[in-house]
Amino acid sequence: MTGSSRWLAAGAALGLLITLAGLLRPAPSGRVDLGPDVVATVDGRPILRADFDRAYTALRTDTDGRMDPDVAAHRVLDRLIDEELLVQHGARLGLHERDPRARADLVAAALRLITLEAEEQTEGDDTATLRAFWEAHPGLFRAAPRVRAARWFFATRRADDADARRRADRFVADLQRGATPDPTLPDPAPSPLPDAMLPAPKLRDYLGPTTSAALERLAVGELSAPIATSGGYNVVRVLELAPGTLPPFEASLDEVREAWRRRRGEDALRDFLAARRQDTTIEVTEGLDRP
Amino acid sequence: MKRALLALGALVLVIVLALVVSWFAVYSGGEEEGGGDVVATRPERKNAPRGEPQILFGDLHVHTTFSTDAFVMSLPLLGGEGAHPAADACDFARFCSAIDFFALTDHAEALSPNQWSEVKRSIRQCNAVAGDPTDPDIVAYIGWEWSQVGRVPEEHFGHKNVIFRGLSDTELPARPIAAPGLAGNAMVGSGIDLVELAQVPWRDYDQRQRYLNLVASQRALTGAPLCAEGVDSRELPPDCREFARDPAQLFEKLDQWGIEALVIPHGTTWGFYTPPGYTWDKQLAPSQDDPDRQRLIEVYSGHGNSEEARPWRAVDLAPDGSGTCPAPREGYEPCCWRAGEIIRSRCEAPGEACEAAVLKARADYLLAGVGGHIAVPGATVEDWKGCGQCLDCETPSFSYRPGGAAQYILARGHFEPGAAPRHTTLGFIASSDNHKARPGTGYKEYARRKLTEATGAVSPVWDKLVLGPPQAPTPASRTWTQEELTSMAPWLVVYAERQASFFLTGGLVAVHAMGRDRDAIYDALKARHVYGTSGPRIMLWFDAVDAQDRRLPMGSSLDAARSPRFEVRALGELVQKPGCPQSVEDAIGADEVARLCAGECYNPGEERRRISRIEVVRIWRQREAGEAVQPLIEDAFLRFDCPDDPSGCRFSFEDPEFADRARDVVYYVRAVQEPTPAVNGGQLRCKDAACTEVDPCYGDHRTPFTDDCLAPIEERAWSSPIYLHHVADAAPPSEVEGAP
Repeated sequence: MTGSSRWLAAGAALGLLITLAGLLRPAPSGRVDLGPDVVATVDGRPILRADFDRAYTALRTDTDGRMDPDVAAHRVLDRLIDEELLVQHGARLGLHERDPRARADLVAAALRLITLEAEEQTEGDDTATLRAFWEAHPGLFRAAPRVRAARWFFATRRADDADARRRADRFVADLQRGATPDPTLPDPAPSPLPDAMLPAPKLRDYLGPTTSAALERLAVGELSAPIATSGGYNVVRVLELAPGTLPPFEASLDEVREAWRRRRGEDALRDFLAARRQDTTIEVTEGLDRP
Repeated sequence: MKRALLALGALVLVIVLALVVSWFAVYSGGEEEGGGDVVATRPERKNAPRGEPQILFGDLHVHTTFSTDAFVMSLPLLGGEGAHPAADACDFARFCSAIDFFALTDHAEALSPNQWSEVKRSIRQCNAVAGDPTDPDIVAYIGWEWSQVGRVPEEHFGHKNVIFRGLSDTELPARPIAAPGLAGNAMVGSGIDLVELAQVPWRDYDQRQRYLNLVASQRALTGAPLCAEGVDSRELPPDCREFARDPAQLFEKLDQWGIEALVIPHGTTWGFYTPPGYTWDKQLAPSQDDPDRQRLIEVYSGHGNSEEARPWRAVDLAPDGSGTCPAPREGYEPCCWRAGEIIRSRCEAPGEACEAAVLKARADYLLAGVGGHIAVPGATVEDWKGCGQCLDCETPSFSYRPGGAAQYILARGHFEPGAAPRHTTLGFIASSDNHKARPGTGYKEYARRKLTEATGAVSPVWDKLVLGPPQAPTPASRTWTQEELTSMAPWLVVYAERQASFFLTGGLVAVHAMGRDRDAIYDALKARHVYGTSGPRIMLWFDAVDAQDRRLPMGSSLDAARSPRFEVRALGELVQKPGCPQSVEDAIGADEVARLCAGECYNPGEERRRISRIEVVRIWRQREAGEAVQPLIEDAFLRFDCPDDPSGCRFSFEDPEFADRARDVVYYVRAVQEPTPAVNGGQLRCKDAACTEVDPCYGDHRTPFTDDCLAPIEERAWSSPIYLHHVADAAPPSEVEGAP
C-alpha cells in the first residue's frame, strides 16, 4: 500500500467508525425525522428550516464564530420554539380578538392582501373601460369650486357671547332687508380674507372649517346666518362662485386609472366581506338592527 | 503530499471564489432607486386669486433618499422605513401636510446624472397632476443643496439651497453643482470600511436589497467623471460631476447659466458640521455674496433655530488661526473645557500630571474640530452634560455657533478702505430639512422617528457595527491627526448620538403672495415678503406704514429720516384634530395614510391657539470695523403681551431713537404662541439650569422608538426684517425696495 493509499484507508476507517457510533448511540428523546424543510414542530405547527438557518447564521456571525456551533444551534432552536409557544398562547388567549393592537394589525394585513391583489391586476385596464368609469364618476375628477367671499366678524366682547350673537343677527337682518347696517356692529376680523377666488382648504385656513363649509353651501349673493367660530361669530356672503371644471378625459388618464384601480380594490374588499357574511353565522342582540 | 497540496489548492480556490461571488453580489446586486410615481388623484382643486396677497405655506428644504445621508438613515439597521422617493414628497405635501408649495433639495454631492434626471421628471409630474398651472393644487420647485463643509473656520462657508423658478431644461442647469471636500467625500462613502459594508447584507438578509441598492447608488455616483475645472458650465459634458469650491464659484457658475435662482443659506449655527469658531464674516465680502440670488436665510429647521446671537464662542481664535479653550461663562461651557474636566475626573490624584492631562485634553478636543468628542475615549453623552449648547436659546441647533446666527449676520458689516460699509439684506424663512421626503412635517408633534432625523441603531449588535465597540475610558485624551480624521467614516467624526436630542419636526416658510402659481410664489420669495414658522401655520403680518398710509410689507427696505409706524398682527394656528380629513383617505386610501402620513394629517379644527406675546428685535448695523457687535442686537427691544383673545393679537409701534441715532437699523418681529408639546422640546432634558445632568433622547434603541420625547415649547413665527436706511434729508419714509 502506498503512503497516500494508507491515508485514504485510514480516513475511510475513521469515517466508518464515526458512522457506526452514530448508529449505535441512542437518539435524543423527541428527535424524529421531520423531513428536509422542518426542524421542529410545536403542537404540530412546523418551524421551518429556512427560518432556523437564517437565525443560526446571524447568531454565528454576530458572535464572530466564537460560539460553539451546537450551543448556537440549541439557542436558536430554543428561541424559535419559545416564539411559537407564545404565538399559540396568544391565539389561545384570543389576543387577536381582545387586544386592540393585535386586532388592528391583523385587520390591516388582511385588508392589504385583499385590496392589493385586486389593484395589481391589469386585466380590464383599457382606455374604453377607463373612459366609461370617468363618465360614470365625474365627481372624482372635477375640480372643487372656488369662492370669493366677504366676511364680517363679531367678537365676543368681555365674554358676552349673547351680545356678539345679537349684533350679528341685527347685521344680517339689516342686510337682508336692504338697509345699510350700522358699521359699528362688526369688529375687525382676526385675519383679512383676501379678495380672491379661494378654494376650500385656503378658506379653511382663514375662516376655520365651520365657516368655510358653510360658504360651500351658499349661492352667489346669499348671506349666511351667524356662524359660531373661535372668539365670536362670522357672517359671510358669497360674492363670486366658480364651479369646478371637469378636465377632458385625455388630460386625466393617469388620474382615472389610479382611481379605477383603487375602486377595484375597494370592490374586491366589499365583495369578499359580503361573501363571508353569507357564509358566517352572525347574530345581533335584540333592540339593534342587523347592519 | 501532492494530493494534499492539490486538495489545499482546491480549498483555497473555493474560498476565493466564494469571496469574489460575495463581493460582486454586494457591488452588483443593487440597483439605483427611482423617483417613484406620484399618486394621480387630485385633492380639492385651488384657483388663482385676484388682487390681494394671500398667505401660502411651504417647505423649501426637503430630501429624498437620493441624498446619501437620507439613504443611510432609511436602512433597516437604523430602524429606517426604506426608500423615500421624490414621488412621496409630492404626495405627502398634497395629502398629509397639505402645504401650498415645496422644493426638493437633495445634496448635489449625492446626485448622479441619472438621479438629477429623476428629480426633474418627478417634480414635473408633481406639477402636472396639480392641475392648471395658473391655479395649481400645489407648486413644486426643483433645486439642490450645495453642501460645503470646511475643516477649519477659514475654509467653511456652510450649506446653501439653490432653488430654481422654472421647470424646463432651458430654465435649469444641466447638472447640479456640488461642493468638494468633506461633505462631498461623505456623500460618496469615503472612509467607509468596505469589509464591514460587505457583510451587512448577509447579516440582515431579509432586508439585503436596501443595502445592495445603497452600494449601487454609490457606484453610479462615483462612476460619473468629474467635470473639468475652469470651463464654462454650459460647455461641460452633461454627465460629469460639477463642483464649486466656494460661494463665489457657485455664483459664477450660476451666472454662466444665466438662469434665475435663489440661493438660501441654512444651518449657519449648526455645530454638527460647522467648525468651532466659525463666523459668517467672510461671506459679507462682495466676492462671496450675490445680493440678487442670496436674498433669504433659513433661520429655523428640523435641525434647530439659528436666530439668536451670543457673545461666547466655542474656541478663542488667534489671528494665525490657532485656538485656545475659553473659560466657561454664565450660561455656556465650551466642550473643550468639559473635555478637560472629564479627564480630570479620571486622574488618580490631583497634581501637576493631572493638570497637564487636563490641558492636553482641551487642546486635543480643539484639534479634532467637530469631532472633538472622540479625543476623550469612553466619554458618554451624559459625561458631556450641556457643554457647547446655547442653554438660554429657544430650541437652538446642536453645538451652537453664534457667529452664524441670523442676528449676528444682520448686524455685522464688511469694511474696505474707501468703500461704504457693506451689509447683507435677507428675508427670514424656515423649513423642515426633512430627509424622508416629507415636506411640511411640523403640523403635528408625533412619530419622532418618522418625522424627524432622529435615527440610530435598532439594537446593541448593530450599534457595534455602526459605531464600533464601546471604548473604555482612558486616563489621557487621544491626539488625532488631520489625516486620521479625514480618512475616518464621517459618522464616526460627527457626534450623532448627542445630536439626536436636537432634531425637531421642522418649520415652514410662509409667503404673502399675489397668487397661487409658481411665479407669484417665487416673486414673493424674491421680494422677501416672507416669514418663517417653527411648524404651525401661524399667520403673521408686519408692515411699515408711511406718512401716506402706504403699507410696506415685511422684507422691505426704506430710506427714512424718521421712523415709520410699524403694525404687527398675528393669528395663532388652528388647533389640529386627530387623524386625517375624510377627503385624504378617499384620495389615497387608508394604507397610504398609514404609510406615508404615519396616520396623521394637517386637519384643522375651529379653535385657534393663543398668541401670547409679540417681541420686536432691533438690530443696528455695524458702522465701522471693530465696533462691538453684540450690543447692536437688542432682543427684545419691545415686548407686547397679547390679550387672551383667540382672534389674534395686534400691536403697533414707532421708534423715535432711529432719528436720534441717525444710523441704519433693522427690525423684525416674533409672534410667540402659547406653550404646546413638541418632539424633542426638551433637547438634552437638563435636570437643572446649568445642565449638569442630562437625560438625552437617543435616536437609537436606548430610547424607545415609540417615545416622542415631548416637552412644552412656545412655537413661533419670525417675520422678515424691515430695513431702514437713515437718510438725513429724506422725505417721510419712502420705499426703496419691497412694496408690491
